[in-house]
Amino acid sequence: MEQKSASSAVENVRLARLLFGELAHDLDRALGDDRGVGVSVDRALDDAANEIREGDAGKAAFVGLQESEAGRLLEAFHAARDVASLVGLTVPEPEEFWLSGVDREKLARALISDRSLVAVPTPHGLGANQWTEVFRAAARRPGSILSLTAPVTFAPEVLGAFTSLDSVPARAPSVRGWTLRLIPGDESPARMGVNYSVGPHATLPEMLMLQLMRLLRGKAPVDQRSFTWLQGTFADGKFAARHFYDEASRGVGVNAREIGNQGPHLGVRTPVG
Amino acid sequence: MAEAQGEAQLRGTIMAAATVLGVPVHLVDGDSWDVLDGVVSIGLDGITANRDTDAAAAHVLLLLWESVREVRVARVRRMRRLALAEQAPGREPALATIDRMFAVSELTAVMPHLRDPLARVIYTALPTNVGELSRSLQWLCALLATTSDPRAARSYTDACSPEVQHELSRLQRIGGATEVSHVLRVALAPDSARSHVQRFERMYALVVPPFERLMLIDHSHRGIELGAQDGEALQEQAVLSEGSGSGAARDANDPEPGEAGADASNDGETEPARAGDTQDSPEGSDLFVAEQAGFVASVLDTPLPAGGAWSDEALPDDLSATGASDTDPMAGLSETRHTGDAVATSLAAYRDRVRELSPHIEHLREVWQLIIAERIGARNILSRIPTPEGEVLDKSSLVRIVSEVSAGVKRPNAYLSRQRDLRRTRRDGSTDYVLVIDRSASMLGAPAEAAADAALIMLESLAAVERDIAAEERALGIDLELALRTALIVYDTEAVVVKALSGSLDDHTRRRMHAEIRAPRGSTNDSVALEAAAHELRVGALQERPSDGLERRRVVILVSDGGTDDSARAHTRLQGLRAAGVKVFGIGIRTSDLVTRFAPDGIRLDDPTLLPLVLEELIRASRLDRELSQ
Repeated sequence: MEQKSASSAVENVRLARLLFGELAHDLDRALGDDRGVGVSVDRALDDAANEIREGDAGKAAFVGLQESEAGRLLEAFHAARDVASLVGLTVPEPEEFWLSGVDREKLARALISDRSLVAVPTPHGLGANQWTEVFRAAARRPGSILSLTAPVTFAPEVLGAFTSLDSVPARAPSVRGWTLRLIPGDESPARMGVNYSVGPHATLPEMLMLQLMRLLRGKAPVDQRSFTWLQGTFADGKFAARHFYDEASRGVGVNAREIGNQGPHLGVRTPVG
Repeated sequence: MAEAQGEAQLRGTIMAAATVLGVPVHLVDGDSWDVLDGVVSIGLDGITANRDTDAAAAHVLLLLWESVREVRVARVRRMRRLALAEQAPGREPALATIDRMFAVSELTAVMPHLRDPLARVIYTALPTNVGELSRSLQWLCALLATTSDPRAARSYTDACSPEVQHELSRLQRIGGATEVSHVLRVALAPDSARSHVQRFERMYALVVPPFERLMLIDHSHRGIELGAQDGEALQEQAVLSEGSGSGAARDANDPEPGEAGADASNDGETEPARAGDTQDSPEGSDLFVAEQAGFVASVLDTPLPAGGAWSDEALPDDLSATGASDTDPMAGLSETRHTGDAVATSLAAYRDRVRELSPHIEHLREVWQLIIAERIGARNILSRIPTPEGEVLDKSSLVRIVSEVSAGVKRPNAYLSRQRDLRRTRRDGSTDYVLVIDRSASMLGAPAEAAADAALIMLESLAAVERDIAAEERALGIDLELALRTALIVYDTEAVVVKALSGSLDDHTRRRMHAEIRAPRGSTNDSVALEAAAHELRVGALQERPSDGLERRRVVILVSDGGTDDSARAHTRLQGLRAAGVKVFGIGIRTSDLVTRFAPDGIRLDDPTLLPLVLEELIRASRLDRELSQ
C-alpha cells in the first residue's frame, strides 16, 4: 500500500513537470547542482546538435539545390547564427524562409550567375542600441579588428530616422522580422559613382549583418574604400544613409548624404530576393 | 451489446480527443486513412483488432499526432525530416523512430492519462525477440521501449546485443546523466526555449549517429559493401517486402519479417542468429534490407506516412513530393501508400518526358533568346570618373586639373574613357499565352498524349525563358520590362484552369498537367473554355490594365478534335476575344471543323504526334510577327 502511494506521488510529480514544462525548467535552474544534470544534459545535447548541423545533415535544408549553392547558403546561415548568438538571437530555419515566400530557386539561380552574392539572413527592427550591443560583442571576440570603444557609429540624422531605416523592406518576405536576401559581398559596390535613385539598395541591417558575418569569419570588412547607399530616405526624401568602414577608427559607420550625391566612391549593392 | 458499447465509447473518445487536438476527423469503416479538405478520414478496422478501447483510442491519437498534427504545427520539422530522408534513404527507420518518439512524448505531455495505453500500443508493436534483429534495429527498439515505459524497458534492453548495450551506456552518460530515460526525456520534452527543429536536431544527434555506427557493424558482420547502393537496395527491398508486414499494428505474436532468415544462419558467435547474418552473401544483404523495411512497416506502421500525398497541401511541392517518392525506402509497403507513389511516379514520368522533349523545349527557348538579344541595345558614352588615362580630356574638370598639375601632380585624373552602356531598346514583347486543350472522351489515346506533350513543351520552354530573362536582367543590371506568362486550361463539359496565368511553373502544376490532360471524359464545351481563357486574360467584364503596367500581346491556342456543344455561344466568345485584341488560334486534330470556325487562324492537323511541332512553329511565328502559312 505504502509502495503504491509512493509510486503515485512520483507519478504526480512527473505529471506536474510535464504539464508545466516551463515552470519545471525554471525550478531545475533554481535548484542548482542537484537538478543541474538536466542543464548539463541540455548543453551536451545542444553541442551534439551543433556538430550535426556542421555536417551533411546541415545541408538538408537546401536539398535539391546544387552542391556549391547549397554550400554557400549553409555557410551564410552558419555565419548569421554566429552573429545572432552574440546577443542571444535565433536565426529562423531556412525552411521557415521558404514557407514565408522566399524563392529558393531564384536565390540559387542568382548565386550561380553572380559569385559575389552572399545570402544575408537579417533581423530588422532591432534598433540602434541592440545593433551597438551586437557590434560590441563582436569587438570583444578574440582577434576582432573592431574597436572596443566605438565598433559602430551612427550619425545623429541616421539615428533620428533609424526606425524607418531598420524596417523590413517593402514586399520582402519576412519571418519574425528576419529577411533573407542576397547582397553583393565584394569589397566595394560593383556600381560606383551613382546617386540614390539607382536603387533598390541593401537595407541598413543587411549591410551591418553582412559586415559582421564577414568579420566573425576573419574576413576583411567591406566598404573600406567605398560607401554603399542604404535603402530609405529621410528629411522629406532629401537625404539617404550610406554605409562604410573606417580603418582609422576601426569601426563601421553610417552617415547621410543628399540623394543626388554621386561621388565616385559611392555605390549600390542591389539586393536579390 | 458490450462490443457495440465499446465501439461507441471508442468513437466518442476519438472524436473528443481529436477536437482537443484541433484535428477534424471522420470515422469510417475499413482500414484506410485519408485527408481531404483538412478532415481526416479514419478507418477503424485495423486499429481496433485485438486491442482494448483505451489502447485503440491511444493508437488513433498517436497516429494523428505523428502525422496530421505534426504537419500543421511543426511543418518546418517535417520538412527537415523529409529532406534528411531524401538525402540518405537508409536513415528512414531512424527518422521514423524519432517521429514516433516525439509523438509519444508530446501526446503524453498533453494527455497524461494516455501514458499506459500508449505504452501498451508501443510494446505490442515491438518484436518480442529483439535479440534476433540487426543491431541497428535493436537500438531503435530499445529507444522506443525506453520512451514509452522506462521501467519495463530494462528487461527488454537486456536482451540487446553488447554493441547496442554499449551505445545505450554512452547515451546514459551524456551530460552526466545516469539514466537513458532521463536523457531522452530532456531531449523529447516540450521546450519553449527551443524550436521544433532544434529539438529535432538534438534527437537526430542522439539517435542517428549510433544507428549508423551499428549499421556499419551489421554490414561488416554480413560482408555487405557500403556505398550509394545501400539506399537503392533499401528502396528495392521495400517494394519486395510488400505484404510481409504491412497493415495496422501487428500483434506481438505475429512472425517478424526476416525471421525465416534468422534460422538459416549463424556466424558462429554465441549470440542468437540475426536476419541475413551470412557472410559475403547477396542473400544476406537482401534479408538485411528487407528486415529494415519490415521494421518500419510493422513496428512503426502508419496509415499516413511522412511524405504521403495527403500532406501535399501542407508542405511545399518539391519537398512533399520528393520525401515520399522514389527515394522513400518504404514506398509501396502498404495499400495506403499507393496514392503517394502514384503522385511521385507521375512526376518522375513527367520529368522523363521533359528529357525526351528537351530538343523542342530548347528550340522554343532559342527563339526567345533572339528576342531578348534584340531588346538590348548599346550606346557609346563617356565614363563619369576621370582617370589619369583615357580617350577624352575631362573639360568640366579643367580648373582642378590645372591646379593639380601646378601643384606638382604628375598624373592628374584628367581623362574620361569611352564605355558602352547597355540599355533596353523597346518595350513591347511581353506576351500572355493561354493554351486551351480539349479533353473530351473523343480525345482518348494519341490526341491526348500529343496534347500533353504540346502543353509540356510550351509551358516548360516559356518558364525557362522567364528564367533567362531574369538572369539577363541580373547580369546586365537593367530591367528589360519583358515578361512571359502562360496559362493552361483543359475542358470537357466544364473548363478547368490547371495553371493560372503566371510566369513560373511548379511541381504541383506539373503533376496536375500530366494527369488532367490524360483523363479524357465528357463532351466538348469549348465556349466555357474560351470564357475561362477570357477570364484569365481579363477580357470582358474584368477588362483593365495589367497591374504591372506592361503592354502585353495576348495569344490563345485551342487544341481540339472538333465538335462543340454550342457553336453559337463559342462563336460569340471567340469574337469577344478577338475584339479585345487577343490572337486566337484553333488547331483541329483530324478535323476541318476548327479551320472553319477559327478562320483565319484555324489549322487542321492529321497526325497528332506533330502537334508539339505545330505549336512550336505557331509560337515562333506569332513571336516573330509573321503569319503562319498553312
